[in-house]
Amino acid sequence: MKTLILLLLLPLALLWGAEINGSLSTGFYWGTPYWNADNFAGRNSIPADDLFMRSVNHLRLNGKFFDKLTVHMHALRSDGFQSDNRLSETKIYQVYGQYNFARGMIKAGRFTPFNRWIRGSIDGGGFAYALNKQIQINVMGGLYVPYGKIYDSDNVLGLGYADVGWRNKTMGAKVKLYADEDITKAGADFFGIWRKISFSGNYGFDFTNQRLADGGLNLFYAFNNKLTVSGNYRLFRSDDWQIAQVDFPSILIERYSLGLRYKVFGSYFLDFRQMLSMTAESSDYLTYLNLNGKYFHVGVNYLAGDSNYERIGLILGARYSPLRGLNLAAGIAPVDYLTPGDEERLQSIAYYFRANYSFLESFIISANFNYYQDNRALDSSHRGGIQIRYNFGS
Amino acid sequence: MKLKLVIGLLLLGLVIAGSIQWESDLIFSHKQHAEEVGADCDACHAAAYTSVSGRDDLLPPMETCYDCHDREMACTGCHQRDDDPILLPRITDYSPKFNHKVHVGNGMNCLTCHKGIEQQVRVNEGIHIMDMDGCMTCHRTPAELAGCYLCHLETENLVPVNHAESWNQMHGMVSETGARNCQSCHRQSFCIDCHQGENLHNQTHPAEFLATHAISWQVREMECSSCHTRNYCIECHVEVNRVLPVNHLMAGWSGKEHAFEARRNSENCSVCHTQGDMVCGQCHF
Repeated sequence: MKTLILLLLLPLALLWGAEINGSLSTGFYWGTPYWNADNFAGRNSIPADDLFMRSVNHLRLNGKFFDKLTVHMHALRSDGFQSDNRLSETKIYQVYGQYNFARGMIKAGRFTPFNRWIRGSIDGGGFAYALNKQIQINVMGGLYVPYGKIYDSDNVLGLGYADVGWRNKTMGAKVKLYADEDITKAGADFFGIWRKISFSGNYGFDFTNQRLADGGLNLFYAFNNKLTVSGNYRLFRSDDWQIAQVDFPSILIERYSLGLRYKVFGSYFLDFRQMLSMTAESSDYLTYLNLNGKYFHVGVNYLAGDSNYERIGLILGARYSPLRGLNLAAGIAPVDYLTPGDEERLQSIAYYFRANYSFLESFIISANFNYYQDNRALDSSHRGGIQIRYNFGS
Repeated sequence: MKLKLVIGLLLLGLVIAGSIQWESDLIFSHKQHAEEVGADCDACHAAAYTSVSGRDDLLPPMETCYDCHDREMACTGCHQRDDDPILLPRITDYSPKFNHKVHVGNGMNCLTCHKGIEQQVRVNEGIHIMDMDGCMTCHRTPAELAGCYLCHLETENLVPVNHAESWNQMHGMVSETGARNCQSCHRQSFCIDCHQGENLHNQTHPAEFLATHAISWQVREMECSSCHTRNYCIECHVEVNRVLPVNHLMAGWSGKEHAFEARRNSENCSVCHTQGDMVCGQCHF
């Protein structure tokens, strides 16, 4: 009996001292393909005309206890209406506890670091400590599945990561070390502002394969409050691909981007962007021109490449808020394109409608409907969803 | 060639523009006034204590200087150029919802927000105005957009200027190094909605993306693997539509053609044949 009373009192005591916020949402979605671990392993197939209808419940929960301890949970449950149980799965993105102290924190559980070299969730622990106002160290480690790979037990890796960061008022940098069961990498990130030019960049070296892992440089400059320019360079590698007797090495990809933004008037901006993506074999060019503002959006994009791809797309969209809290958006996006290997050009038109309505301060209903004319990618021409969300404690 | 020329001209423009100084010629040391004169902030900025709008001009007019200084003193006592002094630009475009009076009334010291001003020996435009990062030392990121309008105007464009056309490609690197700024507006759940979510609201990609995503993948317009595992591709291309790539139907595909394509870009193969699946293993054992 005493144990029972203690078990009841303990959570009550914790809740008494807690500051809790988060959101709970429920909705229906259709048209978006979905998978779960079982269906891939079982090589199941589903009827091509399946609407992929499923209900999705989503919980985000953040709790703060006694000013020092926080707990975080982020999970999703999907339940399919058709195709046996194929669309049903529970996903836990995060569930971890964190203890904060004056100079840092320690955390354990499943968490998402959002790190260039670690995408997705880690099951493990992390630690951060500030040596002073300028220098901080971060350490984390655990088990994870590298992003891009299929989530099953064969792909689980143990990893460790550490960085030491330095920053002052205008710039900062960090050196970092990463090791998992397959590779060891080291590198640096830096960012700052120099004479009104914002810059950020990174560099990484793969010691296991003795080659450059990744790199990049971003520049941003505001000439005045009307005209801004940004330049972007990124270098990255595709994954190695190995089969029994054959090893195809990963390829190096370089991408350059140049963007200009001009404030035409009020909330209306004209955006122009050029992108060049290169491998050893081919170069591809993209151009975008968009006028975007409070009430409408008009844009055109053009793509051409060495491998005979081509695409020209238009978008025309409108936004309107007929009453406080209610926002409506709708548009049409025709596209003409030629895919590699095809000789015949294709045309398709996408239509969309979106609405969201905030009411009673804590509730939001959102809906989106999309229709694709002449869509070859999926038999279902309809995609969409309706959701209601309740935000609490914020 | 033209592309190189355009890029070169833009970079040159950047360098020139970066070298231009936008400063007042005012000679004023906050440090001297604070430490040697012993002046409190309200000696010059008295209006800040009762100001209820961020658009109030709270920089002192020159008349205030004459409370202590001699009117007959030479211009060069305070301005570097006596022939054509550059007046200090006024700051009247801050959020009108910002209320100095409330902050002071809550017992806040001026230096909490205008950190380091007491050590400055020169005056530079706007440099002591706190950024969002500073606000978020005390304030919390709102869960919804409506919460932003507690401080910002509803007519205000809240999107930062650097969230421009190429932001899709740039934001990863910026968040890696300056994540504290991101948290001024976004909670981590914002990242998860795209990076681990399932694009439930169909807003992550352009409207026509369903039709043309294959091309976007080919040219690396976006990093598919930032959000999607390969199951996502296979779901449609193998299990649902059973779409075979066109080149798989070419004569000679089972011979040298597939080897040529694989050596050219093995990443294409690995979209469906993950790490060399059973199809490859039938021959390459």
